[in-house]
Amino acid sequence: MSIILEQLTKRYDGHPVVNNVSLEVGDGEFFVLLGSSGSGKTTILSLIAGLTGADHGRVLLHGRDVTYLPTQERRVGFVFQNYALFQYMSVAENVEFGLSIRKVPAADRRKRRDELLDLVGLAGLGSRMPRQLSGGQQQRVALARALAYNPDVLLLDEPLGALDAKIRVDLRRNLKAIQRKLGITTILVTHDQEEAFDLADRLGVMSFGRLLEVGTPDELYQKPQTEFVASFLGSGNLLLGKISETGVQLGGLHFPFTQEARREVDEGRVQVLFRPEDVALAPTPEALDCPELGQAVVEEVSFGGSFERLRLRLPPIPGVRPLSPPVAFGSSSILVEATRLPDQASRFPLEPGSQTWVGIHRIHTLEHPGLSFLIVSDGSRRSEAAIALGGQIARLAHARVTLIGCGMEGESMQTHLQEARKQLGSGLAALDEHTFPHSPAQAVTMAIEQQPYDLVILGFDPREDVPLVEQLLHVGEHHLLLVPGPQGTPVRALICVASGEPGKDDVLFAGRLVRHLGAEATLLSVLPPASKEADLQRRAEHFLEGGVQSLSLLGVPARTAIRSGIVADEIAQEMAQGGHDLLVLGVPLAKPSGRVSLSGLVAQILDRVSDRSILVVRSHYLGARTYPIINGSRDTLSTNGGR
Amino acid sequence: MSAIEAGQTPEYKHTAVPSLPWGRWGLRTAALTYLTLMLIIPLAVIFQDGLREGLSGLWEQVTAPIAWSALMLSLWTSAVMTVINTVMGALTAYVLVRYEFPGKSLLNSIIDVPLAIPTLVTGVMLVVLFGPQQALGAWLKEEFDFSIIFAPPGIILALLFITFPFVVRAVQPVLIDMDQTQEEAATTLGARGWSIFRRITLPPLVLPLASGALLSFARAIGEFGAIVIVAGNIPLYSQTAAVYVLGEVESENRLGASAVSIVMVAIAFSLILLVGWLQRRRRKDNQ
Amino acid sequence: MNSSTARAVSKPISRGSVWIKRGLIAVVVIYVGGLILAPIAALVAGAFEQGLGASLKALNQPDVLSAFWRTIQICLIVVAVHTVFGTIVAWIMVRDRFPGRELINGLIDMPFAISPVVVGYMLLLLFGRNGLLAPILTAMDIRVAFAFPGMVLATLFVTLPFMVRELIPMLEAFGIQQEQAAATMGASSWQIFWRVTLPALRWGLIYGVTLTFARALGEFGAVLVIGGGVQGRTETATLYIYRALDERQYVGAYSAAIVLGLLSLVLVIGTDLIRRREASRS
Repeated sequence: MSIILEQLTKRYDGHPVVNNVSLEVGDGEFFVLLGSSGSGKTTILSLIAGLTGADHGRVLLHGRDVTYLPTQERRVGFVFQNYALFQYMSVAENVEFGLSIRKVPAADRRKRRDELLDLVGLAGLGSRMPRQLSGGQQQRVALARALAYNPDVLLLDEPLGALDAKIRVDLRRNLKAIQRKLGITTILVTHDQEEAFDLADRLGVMSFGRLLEVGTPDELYQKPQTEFVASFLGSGNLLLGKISETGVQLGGLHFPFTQEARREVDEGRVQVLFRPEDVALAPTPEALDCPELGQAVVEEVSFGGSFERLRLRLPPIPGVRPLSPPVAFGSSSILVEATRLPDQASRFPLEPGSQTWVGIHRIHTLEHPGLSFLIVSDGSRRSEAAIALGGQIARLAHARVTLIGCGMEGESMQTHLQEARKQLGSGLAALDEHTFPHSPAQAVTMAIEQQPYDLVILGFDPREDVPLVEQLLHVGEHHLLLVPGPQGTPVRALICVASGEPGKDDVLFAGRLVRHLGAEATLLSVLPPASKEADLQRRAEHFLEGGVQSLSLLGVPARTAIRSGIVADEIAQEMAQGGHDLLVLGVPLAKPSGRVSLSGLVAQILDRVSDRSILVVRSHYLGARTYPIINGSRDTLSTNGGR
Repeated sequence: MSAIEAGQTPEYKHTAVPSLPWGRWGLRTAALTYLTLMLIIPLAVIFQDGLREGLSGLWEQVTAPIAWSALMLSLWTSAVMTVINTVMGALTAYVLVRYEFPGKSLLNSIIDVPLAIPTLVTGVMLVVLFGPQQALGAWLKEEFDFSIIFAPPGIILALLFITFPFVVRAVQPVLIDMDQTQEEAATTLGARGWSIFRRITLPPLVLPLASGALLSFARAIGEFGAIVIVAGNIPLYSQTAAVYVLGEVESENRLGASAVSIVMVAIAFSLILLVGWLQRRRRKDNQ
Repeated sequence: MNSSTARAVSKPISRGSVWIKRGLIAVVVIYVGGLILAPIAALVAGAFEQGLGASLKALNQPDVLSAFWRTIQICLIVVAVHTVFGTIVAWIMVRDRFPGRELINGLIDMPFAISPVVVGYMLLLLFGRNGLLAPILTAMDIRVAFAFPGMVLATLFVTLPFMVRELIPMLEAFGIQQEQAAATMGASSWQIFWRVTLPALRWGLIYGVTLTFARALGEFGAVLVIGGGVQGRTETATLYIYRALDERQYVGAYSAAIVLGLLSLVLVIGTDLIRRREASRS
């Protein structure tokens, strides 16, 4: 094995930028790390090269443990995104640099330099200065320079990112050929999928510091194991359906297992992935040569050169929830992306508004991870209430539960956890326990480093715990369920939303949870007192209607309410009058420093409604990543009305 | 298992940035020694000497009539000079950046001349040009009883010469990098010359102008070489603080010299810190 | 201080006010001409009042020559010291994070604002007859005050900021990627500094040297106080001019002033022109 990374971790400002990454790259392999900015891929490269120090873990190159070696001794070749050529040296001097450091005699240096310039297609340009070259040429020099002294491994940091599209493709081809020819183990880092698919022998997908999946491009495209990778690579259709012993069920569509695929499966929900090229379109269900999903209306048709791309809209299918492409707020239909070859297109022409039957040739299933809860307990009465409520909700939602005890020592901790275990009872999808002798905030930080959670549940005292809540919101992207005391399972939730983008995510997560509970929901919007804008009222109504639609798609009965007055008062009143037993609030937008401040409005509300559980929901606009991005809606109610 | 739980953070001796040969600590020591010897010790010595008789002793020396008048003269001449310099410097920068005219690059180079000329030579030049024995100086004295040389106006003139480049060079790069499309947009919206200048061009220039102005003020307060030639150095009339200190040193009045020196150093240091803060503000604004 | 040519295309915003534009240009030209050019012209006129021959004769005196030589010596030493240590300080300031960095930053600019007389006086307090270090000096039989070493120290103090202030922005702009690249290719810290960083800092160093040299040439107040201006022993070029004015030897004073001024001017403006030409060529 040429490159081995073991549990590599690097933190900046306490946040893990590279989080426990382990990887093996074989001799002569061209490995690509794919991920968007901030995913940690460049940092991994720096760690391998020794430009940064790891906080934990090991790096082995060709069997040598280089973790504590300075860069100079690691024998790596590194190509930077912005070339980093030595501006005051000629091309020849740049390429020869590594050799002259190693005191290679001049004649040999020149020979090697010419070899390399030839290899990268720059023969004869040795006497030029870097600034006289184009971007593509400079990058070739950088490559030649990095290869001159025969390094053990070659590392490339988004080498084609700064170049024009056409040059990028040419250089890519060259790079592949050169790597093949030299047989040098290579890791290239990029955010460009096409590049990754083109170059990689194997590829790894990174997100937020974690290495999610590794495999050949084909494996990852056809058989991804996680929702993120499935929707990240290429466009895909992802629907939530059911799985049983006989096969996969998507509404009326049934995919029986083939002989090889049949195995012991529990009944449950499963994510179903099918690629646009596996979608079949026909005027009648009989004309389809594969299982049919339903009848659709064509929304968009676009021409992509060698194929036709369509976006289709289907009516809601019972038991099926769309995950990708994401469905706009306020809409209740399912979107499917399809591609067709030109001859198929001419046999059955389609334009926006046409009707067609949709079938699926091939599917791939992924495990539906479901929700994950983190219940934090410090041994107090409120914590016990949190454990009880959390357990009930987890059972209903088929959530995985991790229980952590904190702030207690040895014996009492052990007993407490045992009690808690009994309380939570059986019937949970999974139950995990940990203890941390730290404060709750620290305990949560350490827990979520190992895996992110959807919901953190804890006991809450509105008089004292507001700063703690702020801290917990700061350390991760989870939502919070605050339990002030013993509660029954909620049956009616009050969802307080501000109209507009942030409000949408609040509604969707709340809806998901409420559906598991089998509860009802009221969507409340509070307008400022004596508002002169009739506009405001209309916008609020519009938004709430959309919310009800989205909730109905999830299967939650909902109604709307609009009040005006002082926010905290109106919310408290609505809670009491409507007999609601769960309050859902969106978190206010973070300040520029990144900290969320709950003082003011939210603190008031938390104070007023001190006897009911409160669900504090994060929206995407704070950087939450748990939910697929909801597009700005082209899908307004008026279009729905015209359907 | 995070490193915290494992209870161990591996010793990573390697720094992210390759450093100079003697290692980071070697460099820090060298730099610190150099700075201490060169700057800190001399400054400390003055403070120690001037405060020999405590703050009251210091105050007494500083408020002695001649000393006080010298300090005041330094302050107000530098202040007047700074105001003139700010206006003319900004104007010069504007003309250099926004207009084309023959001899522009010559003018641009001339701006730097005061930086290159020894201050003593500056003083000499001004005396030669404006001195009372010369045509211009004599005429002014005859007609208006107005002396430039050997009087406060001469001080201001000398300071203007010496600090001229500061404001210009502080403002010039900001003007060059300025996006003129904002001003053009303002024109399309109906705004006219002066109001465009005041509301769109000027605001981004405020910080660079302020640092340029402060820099010239700080430089001016301590100026010696030119002033000792030009001002005439008559106590209570045209004797600046720096010249006063020289006098006290020569007449062995150590306490007086140290006291006034401390005041001058304190003013200089506060101004420098202020300029540094302004420049950091500017960098933050630009990000 | 770097002079920069205006690169922007100038466009008078309000076309109708060509006269305003002309007026402003005229004001600036008159101001600059009157403030800067006129005095220079007057000095030249004054020096050559009695003809070029008289000027040269006045300059060719042993005391004048020795004064100039002493100045040059001081300048060379000062430049050498500041090049080495200025680079180190610039490095620390840019690449290292340490507490008190902002304070040190302000401290470096101090010599710029402190009156030269105060500088000389500080050194006197340290090294003078009744100074703090007097006992050690007498024990080692070294004279600092009223001697050459004192003048060197004074000049070192006042010229300290120039090199550092030139190097810091250049080092910042240079970035670390080239150095990182060199490290991956096996270069040791010294090799990186010598072969990669230093060439990139070339112009910063050159300009720093020039400014330091020019400032040192013109140093007056500090060396006056610490040196005493003893003819033939502790007299620099500037101190000679001062003495000559006092003794009413105007031709000598003005001529020496021109030489000094010309030397500084050529250095600073010359380097600037060369740098601009280099920049425009690439």
